[in-house]
Amino acid sequence: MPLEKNDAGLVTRAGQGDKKAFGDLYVRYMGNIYRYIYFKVSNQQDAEDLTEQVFLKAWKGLSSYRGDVPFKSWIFRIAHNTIVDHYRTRKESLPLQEDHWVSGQNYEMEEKLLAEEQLNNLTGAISRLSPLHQDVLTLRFINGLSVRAVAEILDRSEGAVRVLQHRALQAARALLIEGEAAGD
Amino acid sequence: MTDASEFSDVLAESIEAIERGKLTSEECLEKYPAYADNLGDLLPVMAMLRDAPPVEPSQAFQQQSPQRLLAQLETPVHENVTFLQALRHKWQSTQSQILLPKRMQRMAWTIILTIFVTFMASTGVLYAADSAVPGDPLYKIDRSLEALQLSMTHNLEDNVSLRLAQAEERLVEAQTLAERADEENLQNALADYSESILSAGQAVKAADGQEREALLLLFDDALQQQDAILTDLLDDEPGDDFNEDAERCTEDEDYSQAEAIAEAEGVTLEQVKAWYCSGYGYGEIKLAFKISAQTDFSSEELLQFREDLGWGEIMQAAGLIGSGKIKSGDPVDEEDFENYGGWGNGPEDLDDSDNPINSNDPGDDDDPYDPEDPGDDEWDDENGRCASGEIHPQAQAIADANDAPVEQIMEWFCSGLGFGEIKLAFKISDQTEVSTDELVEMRGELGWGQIMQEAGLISNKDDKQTGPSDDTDQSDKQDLKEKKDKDPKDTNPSNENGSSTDQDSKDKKDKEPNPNKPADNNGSSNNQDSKEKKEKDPKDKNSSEDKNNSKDNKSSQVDGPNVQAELPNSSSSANDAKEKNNPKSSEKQQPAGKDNKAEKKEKD
Repeated sequence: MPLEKNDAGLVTRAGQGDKKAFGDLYVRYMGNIYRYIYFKVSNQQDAEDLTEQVFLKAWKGLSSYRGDVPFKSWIFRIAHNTIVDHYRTRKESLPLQEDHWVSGQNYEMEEKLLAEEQLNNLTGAISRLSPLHQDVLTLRFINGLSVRAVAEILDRSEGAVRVLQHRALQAARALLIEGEAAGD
Repeated sequence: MTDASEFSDVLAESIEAIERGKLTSEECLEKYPAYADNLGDLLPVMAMLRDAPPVEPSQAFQQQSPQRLLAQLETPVHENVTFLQALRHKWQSTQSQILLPKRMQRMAWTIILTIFVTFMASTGVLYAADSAVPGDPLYKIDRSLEALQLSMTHNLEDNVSLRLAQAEERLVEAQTLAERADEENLQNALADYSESILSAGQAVKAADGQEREALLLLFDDALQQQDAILTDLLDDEPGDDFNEDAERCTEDEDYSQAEAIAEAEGVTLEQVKAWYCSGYGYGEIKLAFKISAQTDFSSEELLQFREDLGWGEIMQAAGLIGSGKIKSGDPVDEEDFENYGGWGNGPEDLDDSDNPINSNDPGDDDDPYDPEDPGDDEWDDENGRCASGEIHPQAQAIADANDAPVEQIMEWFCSGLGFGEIKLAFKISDQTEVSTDELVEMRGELGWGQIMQEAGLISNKDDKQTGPSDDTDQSDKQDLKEKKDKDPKDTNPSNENGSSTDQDSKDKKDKEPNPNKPADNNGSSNNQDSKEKKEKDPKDKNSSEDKNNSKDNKSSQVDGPNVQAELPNSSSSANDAKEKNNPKSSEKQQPAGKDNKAEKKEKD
């Protein structure tokens, strides 16, 4: 059966205990949430574990979901909080891992190596940004969310997100240049 | 608008245009030639991020996780189980966090069960109660559940988080009531909000060291989010529309609210009417009295601050809550707080102690899953407020508004000042010839009330007449001029010999009763006690040590790569700021009034 186009029906059914509906939501957003988390924790295993945690929390918290923000923003907010909790319990920032998994078997070996290098550079730079700048860049550009959605997720005004976007890009650029210089 | 914020908008517009396929990067550069260089720097970074190689979970995860997840899904507690089961489930999960002897746990459960059976509540009743607002029949149940929740928290962070969440709920209720134009209950909700937020501030006081710092950040963040709502609400109280002057203070106006406030606060009706007619809402006036009762500021001064600050910022700046540095001299010290029975029995808890419903709410705990949890934010992470080296958006806003280097603002913030305090420093600097640098330095030793007195901006609270149009005093201005010629540090009472100025002001307090204070708030004597405590309490020493430590920490924290790149030499920044903020005309100082507020509204 094809997935429902809109979240609303799935969310309502999931809220009534329909695991299948929740499973559909999981399939729909698992990739997005994983990507967001991955760029925050720079570790595939942790990103996978945290992705599952996010959906478990969402399931348990569905009763408190009031529909005041779209489900997508809501689940990203849970992901955001899960990462914060993750770092709180770890009490340290995770080192950048080398084993980045670049998806897509269509990549030829050379392309794949290049892509991995590009990804390493990018995750390296992102991991050195402040958490808030990481959030804005990963949500806005890696996940392609709108300014409004990012504002909903981070609980800030759209104006604040625009300013953060500017500063985060500036900071990322500085780090990328720094990384390039170090590479040379 | 500054260049930086203008460019933020230009960048955002360009990015959106590119995302929608309306413009290419090159076309954006052509469209905004003034910003072409900056756009040329940042748009490629955006493109690099957008075109990053796709990152996906491993194949194994993709294949196995859906089944694994579905297998882990329990039936949600609100579905397919009775409320009693849900209640027990909740109780069992909560009691693991509560250090009660088993016998007491059983007893408590029995009590809850009995109350529950007696009440014969259906699940719907309690869920409905959660969304009730003042005036609704189920509202008392909602508050009782909250009180129970509070009594079940066992650590300070949970307690403060829960109080902040409850304060936020009061605000949401107030918004609902404002929409319903239910003025009476709106006033109650706003009063409840200030109770909640102040009780959270008091709870923070029970912490010390790093925990306190973390809680202050938690508090500041929540307050920052709530402040705009609160201020909007207070500005938009029914009948509080500044643009419709004709509707305010007409001959047949009902002043029953003003009468009630005047009676409760022990001031004249004319006084309250004057404030109301000059543009303040009754909610604001009440809040000013509430804050005044717990700080060294008079209600008039607080209302005057309102020209430039939101209420949350005022509370911070007044040192009442948040990073405004709650001191042992503050109104409710830790001992008082313990007398309330600790954090489980704050003032609002007592209100509901006689309520028959003391059962737990299964759906309304301090849920770690709650995405609206005010505690979950970068600025309260374990690394402290400045570990990331990131520029806080509030700092940027203050820097933009005051034409000051943002690094300077961050330096102050990182050394422990709240944003409300920093704004206040700029405001005072605007109205005096004392630079913000000097004011911030003074803040290391003095409260803001004392600083303003030292700067000659205000007279002693107890000497003040409370009229809103109490034109700030030629004599004050004269004092100010005289004091401006002196080094403000000379008047610093923190030296070991004490300060005659400070002593004088204390003496004045002793001699002259404060007409602002309600009869039962122990106002001036408390303040006197507080001041004495402040002088004797070794904690004050600790707090200044903390401040030094935090400065030290800060200097060790700025070693981060992105920070070094962004922060210019701080001393030169400080000098820049000093130059920028130094002597400005004191013409700006005006009595609090409708015109000023209306101007501010317009500005907003």
